[in-house]
Amino acid sequence: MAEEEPVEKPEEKPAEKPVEQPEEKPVEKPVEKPVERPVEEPEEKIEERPVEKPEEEPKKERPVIKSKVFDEIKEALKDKIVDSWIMSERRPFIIIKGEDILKVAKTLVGMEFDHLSAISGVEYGDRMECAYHIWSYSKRELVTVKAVISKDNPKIDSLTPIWKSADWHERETYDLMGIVFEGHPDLRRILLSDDFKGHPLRKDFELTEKPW
Amino acid sequence: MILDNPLVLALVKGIVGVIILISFISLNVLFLTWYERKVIARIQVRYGPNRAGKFGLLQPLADTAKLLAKEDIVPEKADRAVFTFAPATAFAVALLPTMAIPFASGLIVSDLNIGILYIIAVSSLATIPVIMGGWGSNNKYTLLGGMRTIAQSISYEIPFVLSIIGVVALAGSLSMVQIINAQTNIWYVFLQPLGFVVFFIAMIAETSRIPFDLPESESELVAGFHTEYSGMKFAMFLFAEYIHMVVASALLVILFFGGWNIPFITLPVIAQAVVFIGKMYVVMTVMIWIRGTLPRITIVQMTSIGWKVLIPLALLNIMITGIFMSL
Amino acid sequence: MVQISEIPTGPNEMILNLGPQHPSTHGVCRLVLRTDGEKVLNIEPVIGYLHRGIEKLAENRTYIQFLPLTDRLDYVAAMGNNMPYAMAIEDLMEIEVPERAEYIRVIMLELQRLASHLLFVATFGADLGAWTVLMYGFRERERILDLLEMVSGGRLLYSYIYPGGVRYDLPEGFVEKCRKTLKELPKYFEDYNDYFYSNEIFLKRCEGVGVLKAEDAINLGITGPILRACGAPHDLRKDDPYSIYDQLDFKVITEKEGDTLARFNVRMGEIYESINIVNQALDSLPEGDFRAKVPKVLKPPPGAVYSRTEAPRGELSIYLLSDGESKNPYRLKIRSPSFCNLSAFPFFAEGDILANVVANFAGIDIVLGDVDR
Repeated sequence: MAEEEPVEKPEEKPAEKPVEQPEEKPVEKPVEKPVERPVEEPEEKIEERPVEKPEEEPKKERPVIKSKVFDEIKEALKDKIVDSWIMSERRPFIIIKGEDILKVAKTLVGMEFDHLSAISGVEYGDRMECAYHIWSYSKRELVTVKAVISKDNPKIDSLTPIWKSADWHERETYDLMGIVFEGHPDLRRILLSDDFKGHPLRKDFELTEKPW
Repeated sequence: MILDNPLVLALVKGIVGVIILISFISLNVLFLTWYERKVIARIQVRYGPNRAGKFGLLQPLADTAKLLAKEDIVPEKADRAVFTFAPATAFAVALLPTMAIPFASGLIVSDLNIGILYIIAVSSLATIPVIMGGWGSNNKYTLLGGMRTIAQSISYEIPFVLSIIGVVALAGSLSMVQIINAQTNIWYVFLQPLGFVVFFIAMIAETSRIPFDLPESESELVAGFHTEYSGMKFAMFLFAEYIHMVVASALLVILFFGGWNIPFITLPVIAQAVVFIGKMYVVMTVMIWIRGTLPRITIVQMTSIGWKVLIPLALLNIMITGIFMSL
Repeated sequence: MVQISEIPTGPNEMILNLGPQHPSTHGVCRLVLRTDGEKVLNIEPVIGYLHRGIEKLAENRTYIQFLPLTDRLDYVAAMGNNMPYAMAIEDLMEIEVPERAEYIRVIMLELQRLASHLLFVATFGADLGAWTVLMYGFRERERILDLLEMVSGGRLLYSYIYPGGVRYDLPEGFVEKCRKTLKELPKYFEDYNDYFYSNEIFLKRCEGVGVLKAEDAINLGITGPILRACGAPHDLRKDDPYSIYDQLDFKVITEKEGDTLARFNVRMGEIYESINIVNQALDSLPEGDFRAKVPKVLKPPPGAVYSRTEAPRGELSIYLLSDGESKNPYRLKIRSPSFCNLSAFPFFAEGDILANVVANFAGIDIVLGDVDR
């Protein structure tokens, strides 16, 4: 599906030049992606291409406000960020490696990102990602941090010492997706019964087979 | 004739009197179930039962028939003897005070000269079947309900008794008929307002009505001490509760509202009975009205009201009565 | 959170189960309590009795087929659940929603907020033992449900807010009937004032029960009226505005104490603010289309979006990931307010007596459809 996308990118760049903000995204990605991705290719990078309509850009010109904290975040976490862009108003996205999540979280808390809104686990063909959505009441921005972890042994540090709201979200992600959070005080299944076998939200979960 | 023997005569009179009394009270209780549902429904902007018979008057019969037909479930690990005897004890203990209540001059089963003392003593037995039911069901909810009943009964028994002392002192006798006869000129509610307030609150607590219905708090403990009962046993508990309500309102009318007396008029016996029962129903309507309006209090608040507020007020009442009587 | 059944009980302690079937838990939620007499030492909520796997279902349904499923999340305030989903699809596909549709959406959302808070008032009274309030609350809610039925055909679940606008236009006579209903409602709220605020028992049962401070609340992830009752004036309609909320003028109701009475006051205040907002929106309702032109089969381009709204119970957000070629969403994550509020419940409810646990639980106003999804 996405094999040709990196090839098409250089063609799109001239068309998008008149719009300031979206230009940042396609410029950075094709250069950095093949080099800095920890896991392999842009094959299943499903969400990497937020703005992709080549001809219609000038017509649907939404005034995308530059995110105020985007630069601050990039400055504070410079060596840990694998990739970053702005989705829309007040919504920066950054991608990091799974091992760095605790340090990244501590930095973000120091920058007044105090409300952990949700934790979602996503499964791709070759890796898993755990997305943390963190909102700052004082700065009014929501940063989404996606931590890339391996699929065979999905383990990541738990963020319960920093945000107490991570507790049940991590239990739910463990229950439905199978990601193990190390350091969580009580990692058990929460929505499904305790003797359930398997993790339903995975793509290879057989819907017709009985899990008991 | 065999009826000339005074012992046999007394025995026959007693038995006939008791049968009439029990039927009268049961009829009252059945009517009261319908009456309460209608009044509460009107307060809550809805109709009450109005399908069974005209105005739903046959609803209590329908309810009784339903309860008789239900399956009688005994939990597996329950204490069978205690579990089975609790409702019967409740019904029996509830009927005991009715013996000493006069419904008109001459219409009393036994005119004890320690009438009021007997009633207080016997009505404090009413906690025993609740504890039996709560313990015997082998259920944590019912146990909690039973414990709450004990706390509530103990807390409110003392103000209940203390508030009566003023009335007894004014009337000069413990006999129920004497107390009524002493109110021919003025009702005691005007002479003992403080005693009336304390007695009213303690009475609502003793009969476990809202706002003091902790023992059977529906939204917290499912149904309190009678959670595990079904069918006729449950009906016995229900009847016992309503009989308590009838007895308590009768007591209030006798002690504070003059029994069957209307000032300045002497009435024949039938009219006296009608007036008495009318006053009783007014008191019961006020109790039902309170049930429809107020929420429930917690156990901490209940004990503190009972011990810290009502007992000092009752003692104050006794003191004031004593001072006035010695003047 | 610790598993209570694994801690050995001390000499006087008892493990009591409140639920799953219980007259006062709002749905099937089980609370395991460890009590010492009447005092509750530990609470552990056990959920999952209503888990329907909505997130997995999303991956096997098309975008439009999934819309009625979002209704079933918070089934008491169903209009609010369609909104983040519709907003997410519109963000991804860059659809411009016409202005009339935005105004209609805001009217429906605020009417739904009114109805949901009235249900809170009714069940709150019922949990405290005042059955009359239950009947009064539902009677007022019926008037609002009549309005919503006029518009969408459903009383509880609507599927009215569609990606691109709303599903049908407002019928004739709706605006007049809406204004009339909203003018009559405050008279009935006088009854509630009498019932609650001049009743000493009610005030004593709610004051000081379940006190929570603002910093703790933010760290625990609590949003919605509970957070505003702790003194933090955060409302997503003002902080992160969506739709046309930035053009409407309304206050954010905040209280300082953080106990159950404050939460009740916040919700009563929000009822009046909702009436205010609906009146403003009705005054400036423009003419125009009620729906944008959307392709029959929705296929958003690849991308990710996180859309947030302020549901009556807190922040309801949807994280939608699409790969460009399939007709189903790739991953849909729903962040529901009741889940997060319930996870924080043991922090402020432990250490109190049993009756106050029930009052607390009624005060946080959760719906199990939201918790379990």
